[in-house]
Amino acid sequence: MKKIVSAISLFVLFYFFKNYFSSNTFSIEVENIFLMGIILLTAFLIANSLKKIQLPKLTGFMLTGMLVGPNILNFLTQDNLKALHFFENFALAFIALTAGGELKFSRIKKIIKPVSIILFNQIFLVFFALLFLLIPLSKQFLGEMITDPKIIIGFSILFAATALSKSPATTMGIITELKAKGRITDIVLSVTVLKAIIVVLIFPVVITYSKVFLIESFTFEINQVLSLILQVMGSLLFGVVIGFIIIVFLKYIKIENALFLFLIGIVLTELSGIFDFEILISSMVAGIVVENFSKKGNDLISGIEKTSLPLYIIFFTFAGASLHLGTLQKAFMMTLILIILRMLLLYLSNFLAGFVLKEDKIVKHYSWLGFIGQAGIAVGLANIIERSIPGELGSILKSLLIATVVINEFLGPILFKYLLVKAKENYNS
Amino acid sequence: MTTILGLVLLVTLAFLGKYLLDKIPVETLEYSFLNYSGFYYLLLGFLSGPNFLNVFNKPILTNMEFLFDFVLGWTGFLVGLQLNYKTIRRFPAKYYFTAVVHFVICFFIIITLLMVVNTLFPNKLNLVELMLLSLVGSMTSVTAIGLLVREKKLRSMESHLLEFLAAFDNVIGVFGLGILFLVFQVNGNASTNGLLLNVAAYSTVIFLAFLFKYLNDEFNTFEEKSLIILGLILIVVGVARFLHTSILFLTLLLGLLLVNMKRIDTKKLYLTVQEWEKPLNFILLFSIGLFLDFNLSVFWIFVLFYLLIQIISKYLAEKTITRIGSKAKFTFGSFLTLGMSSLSMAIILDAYLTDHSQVKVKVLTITVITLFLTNLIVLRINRKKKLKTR
Repeated sequence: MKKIVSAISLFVLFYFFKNYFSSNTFSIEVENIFLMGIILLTAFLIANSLKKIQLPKLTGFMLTGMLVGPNILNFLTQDNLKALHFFENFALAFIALTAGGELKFSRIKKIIKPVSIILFNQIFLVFFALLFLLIPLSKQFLGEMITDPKIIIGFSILFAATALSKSPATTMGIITELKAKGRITDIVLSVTVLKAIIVVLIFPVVITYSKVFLIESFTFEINQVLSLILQVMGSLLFGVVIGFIIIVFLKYIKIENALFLFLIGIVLTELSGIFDFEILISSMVAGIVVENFSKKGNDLISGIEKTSLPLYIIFFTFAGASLHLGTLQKAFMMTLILIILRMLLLYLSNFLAGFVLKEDKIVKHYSWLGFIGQAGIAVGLANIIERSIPGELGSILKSLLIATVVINEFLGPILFKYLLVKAKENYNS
Repeated sequence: MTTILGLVLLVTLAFLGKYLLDKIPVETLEYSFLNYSGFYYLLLGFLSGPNFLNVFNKPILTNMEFLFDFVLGWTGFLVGLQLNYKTIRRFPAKYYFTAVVHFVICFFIIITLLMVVNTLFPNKLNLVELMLLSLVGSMTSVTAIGLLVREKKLRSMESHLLEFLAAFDNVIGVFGLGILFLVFQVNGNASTNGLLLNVAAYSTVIFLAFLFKYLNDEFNTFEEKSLIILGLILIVVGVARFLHTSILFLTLLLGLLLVNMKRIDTKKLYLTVQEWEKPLNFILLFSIGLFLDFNLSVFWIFVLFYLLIQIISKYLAEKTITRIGSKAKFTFGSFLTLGMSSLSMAIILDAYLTDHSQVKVKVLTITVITLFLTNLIVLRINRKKKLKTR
């Protein structure tokens, strides 16, 4: 109760200043400093209050984001979000760096069988089964609106590709929050990180291919795919370089580690923006390099963990604020079907892997719960659909895609927490 | 180059500078001072700033102001946390009397003489700028005093009082800044509006301090405490900027209130904040260096006058204190309190960032030059001089 009262009083304070002193001339930067303070405190307070009903903190951060975001209170306006976008990416760089830093090859070796089979199933089984099911389902539910079968195929390809995405940030957030350790934690984290890298590699091909169906005049050319693949390769290489820079620093210079990591976060964020690198991939690869090519992995993780709480708050609050709640209302039934389908296929993927390897009940029946949370990459794909299909149809398909991500993003942390508690790997409790 | 990459280059240079400087053996008091005071970060800042290499141009500096604001906020908060009443009351009343008298004498001599000198120059400084220069000119260098006490092994009574005086007049300086903002804001705005702005600012700080106390028992880990402090400082900095008032003063007030509240583990709180002092101090010094501009006309003559005025004021202040019979028997002519405090740079930066039209970069540059000159002079004078030692 104390926390909620405090959060409300902070909201009132901000509202008072924003409205009462609105005649004072101040820049958006000034407003953002104030806003960041309010967000950090209120998100933290609300998330801690929700702990009583067993909700993960990440969900609390996202709920706060929704509350202060453009959909409800509009403290965090679109302009603020745009101006503060750097911090979101900065937080993502750190989260991904930690995720990569947790991935030790020697540990993966011990779980290589379940990891590789789950990974294979989650990519191929989920993608093709979803594609196979979506084409007739889309005809059934959207047939009246979409008469062109090519658009249905194009949409199904894009949706099936989006369903593969899994947010490493959510995974890392829950692992950090629960201080989780153990076999299931390792399996989920390894699959998530490796899948994120693979998905980013195959996305360019899938996107280009889907455009053949979605855009009338579009022709598939290998050069388009090559340039996108080159970009991904650049991201990987950039990650490797950053990884080795971190190793050299932590080994030979060793002064002001916290400040140095802060700089690395900035470099990752800025250069990724300038050269169009995938920040997620570069950061994760840098983390993997440090963890596996030096003995400095622990130094890296402990250095970042000192500052991880504000970073998680910023990332997930902004994620919550950016959710397009209005899209949930449109095509709700179809959204629900898509979510359930994805869940069923994830369950099937993990069950089959567990069955083949004669794994225990947790892997067979529960491990799929660790793969629900989706990444924000879907928003980018949804924009492609909207651009490709003008009019109401494009808008509905975009809403469908985003709505599934919204729900999955909320369910992801809750279900993953449930899995870790079930597997008794939540050392925080 | 983008703002953020500019920042990266800035701090990378600081890293390299620090790394190289650590390898240079430091033997004299002057070198020790330059090292401790962060002179090299300032120099690097100036070299990469818009008035030298222009690696960081003016738009980049404008975009980075939010960061400078935050660092100022952190600095003010840290100063405030040192004002624990339990610690303060341990010092005898004479110490406070001495420090206040010393400050007041310096302030009035400096402001009077500066006003006279100011009439000689074509590009005159305004009243706020003169007040600010007098304020920071009256503050004493903690670093120089610390070095002298350590190296010269002064008598414990004298060193104790000197260290107290240096620390306490820094606090008086920040309070003075707060009063200056209050007076000029109330006069500058329609008076009700000016008062209202200040009431809103101070009420917010009091509210936030009580909020911290209210939540104090709920969160215990270092991470949680750090987060709450970070949030509070950001809010206060935002409020200060919203209301065009001093960040240093408002955050000092927050620190002061928190450290004096019951049931708050002040030691833990201080250690939590201090953890980030060093990296943030780098940024603060760099940023001050970036703003410096030495290409101003008749500027050096003003600096010389300001230096002379300070020498006069400190001499008279030291002499007066000894005359009025305090136990502080200063070594005459040693100008132990001549060195200006490092906090003076933060005070001027705070004022400059709050209102570019009232406080110009010239004042910041004058302060920085005089700060180093006064400190180097006091250390040079006393390097070979035999002080009254233990």
